[in-house]
Amino acid sequence: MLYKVSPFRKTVTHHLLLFTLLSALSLGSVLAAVFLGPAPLSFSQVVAALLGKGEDKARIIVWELRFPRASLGFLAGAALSLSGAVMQGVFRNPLASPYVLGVAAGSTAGAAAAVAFGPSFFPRPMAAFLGGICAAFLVWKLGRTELGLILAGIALSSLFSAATSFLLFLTAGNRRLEEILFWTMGGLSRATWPDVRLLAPIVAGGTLLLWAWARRLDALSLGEESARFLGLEPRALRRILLGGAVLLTASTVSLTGTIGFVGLIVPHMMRLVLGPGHRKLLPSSALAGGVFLVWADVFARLVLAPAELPVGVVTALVGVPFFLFLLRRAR
Amino acid sequence: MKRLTLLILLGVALLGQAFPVSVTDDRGKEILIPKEPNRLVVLLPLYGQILVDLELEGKIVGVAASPDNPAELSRLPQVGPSFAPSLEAILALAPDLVLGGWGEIRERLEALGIVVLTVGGPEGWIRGILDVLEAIRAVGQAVGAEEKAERMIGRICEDIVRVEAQILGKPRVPAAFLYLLALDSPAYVAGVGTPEHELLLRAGGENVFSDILGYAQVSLEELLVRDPAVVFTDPAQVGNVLESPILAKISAVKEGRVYGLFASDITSTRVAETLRKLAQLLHPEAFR
Repeated sequence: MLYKVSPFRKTVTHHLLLFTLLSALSLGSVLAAVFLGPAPLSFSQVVAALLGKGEDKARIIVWELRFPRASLGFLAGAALSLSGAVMQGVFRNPLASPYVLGVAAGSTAGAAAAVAFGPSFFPRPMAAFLGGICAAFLVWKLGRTELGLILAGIALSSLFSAATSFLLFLTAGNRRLEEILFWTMGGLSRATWPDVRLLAPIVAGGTLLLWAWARRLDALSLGEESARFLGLEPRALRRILLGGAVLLTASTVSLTGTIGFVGLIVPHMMRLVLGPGHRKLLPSSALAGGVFLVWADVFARLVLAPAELPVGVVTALVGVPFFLFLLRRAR
Repeated sequence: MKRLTLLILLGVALLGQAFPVSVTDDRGKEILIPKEPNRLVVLLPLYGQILVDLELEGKIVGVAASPDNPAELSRLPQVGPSFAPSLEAILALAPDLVLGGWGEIRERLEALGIVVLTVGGPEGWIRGILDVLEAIRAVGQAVGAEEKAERMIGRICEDIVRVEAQILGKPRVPAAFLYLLALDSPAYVAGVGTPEHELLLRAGGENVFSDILGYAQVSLEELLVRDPAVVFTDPAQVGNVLESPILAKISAVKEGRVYGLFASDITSTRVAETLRKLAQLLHPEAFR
């Protein structure tokens, strides 16, 4: 062989290509989602609306509904699959999802409590965020080992779900019930620009922080012993990584409700394609998760239009078979 | 005399051009309707029914799907299910007034500058006959058909008083509104503060669950204890009540006095007819 490409160079170009591709796909997906929806807007109408021209109706639909919704979908998908990837790495457990530490159940209970008792000026997303953080904090305080944390997460999730059911029972026969149900089903239908502005810096910051710790996450996912052997303090490391993942998850859930399967499946898909190294896995999971949720939501909006499916139904129906296909091929 | 006629005519003309009008909604907020609306989107079935009764369904451009919608609206463009309408589908119809919006959808529509009118209890919940009448009045004012709406309200009130007069002084019949979705599912009953409760009382019945607030799940055992002589339920659930081995022991089932009534006929402009039906079933002897 005359030209021998060094393995290092090869992986670098590989990565660059992959990330350029995923980033382009991300931008393209958000943009495509703006063109797709139940309202019969033609291609040129959407283009005109995007440029700030054309009729009011189309401008509102494009700028106030579809665009913030697609953007929030991308951010939420990114946050969920990134934190799913981190949770799976930290717990060395393929079944770990962003919700292992009870964030989803905690947020739902928080939102339900605010709907049932809270004064109307108290923002529901704030209550959901606090509920999620509280649940994760309790789980962290109760569980010592990896297994202990997972068990405490399961136990407290059940407790918070029971609390939510109780609040549902109290508000029965009332339209407020449906506000609580929103958090249990999850969805992007209430997306607004302020939501996007709130979540974007958190997701960007969280991704950078977790990415910077990817090598240490690699060490931790080999087991506590190996991490200690490499001079790392596993408990402190775990606190930072889980803290970041919980923050991402709780912020997302407080705006979108609980959306399942994205955070569980997308990291696995990326792992099957790219291998277990977190330096590649974390950013690619974030981008792929974003793209996945944007398209799942497009599906949810179009399949039964003008009725909307809960997006969690689509993420499960589309995501699980695709995941199983990848799994079979990998073996 | 001539001047007086002229003055009256002028007054009528001014009344006819009532817009802009302002109507108080379920939140106690004044909703300003700047000019006569001509593109209505209806999100709750009661509002569609009122418009059909006012013969104004021609103004409706879109409707949220519901099994309780009047048949006249079945060909109109839909904006998603009534429990979760699509914001985008509503906006695509460019409505100048949305009737019956509540919760998140209402907030979003209002933020986008669309006028939304909903009346009754919190979030448009219809708690009884008065809320139905208020909805008729509000819709009438909002669409410029106030007089017709008032006449409709008068007719309904008159019919209600007629029914009540017919059963005046009769002993109250213990009865219950019972919902049993399936044979093995829990039973839901209507207590105080529900339209069902009000209708039972006005029709000369006595709600055996008047110690319950709102709708509540009760055990079948409790139904045996309360032993209603007449049971009302959804027409699709009459079979469930009759076939339940436990409920077979209550008087209503033993005597075959289990009747189906559509919920959409209760919170409805047909509420007076529904009341008459209820009174006839509770006191058949009074209507002979």
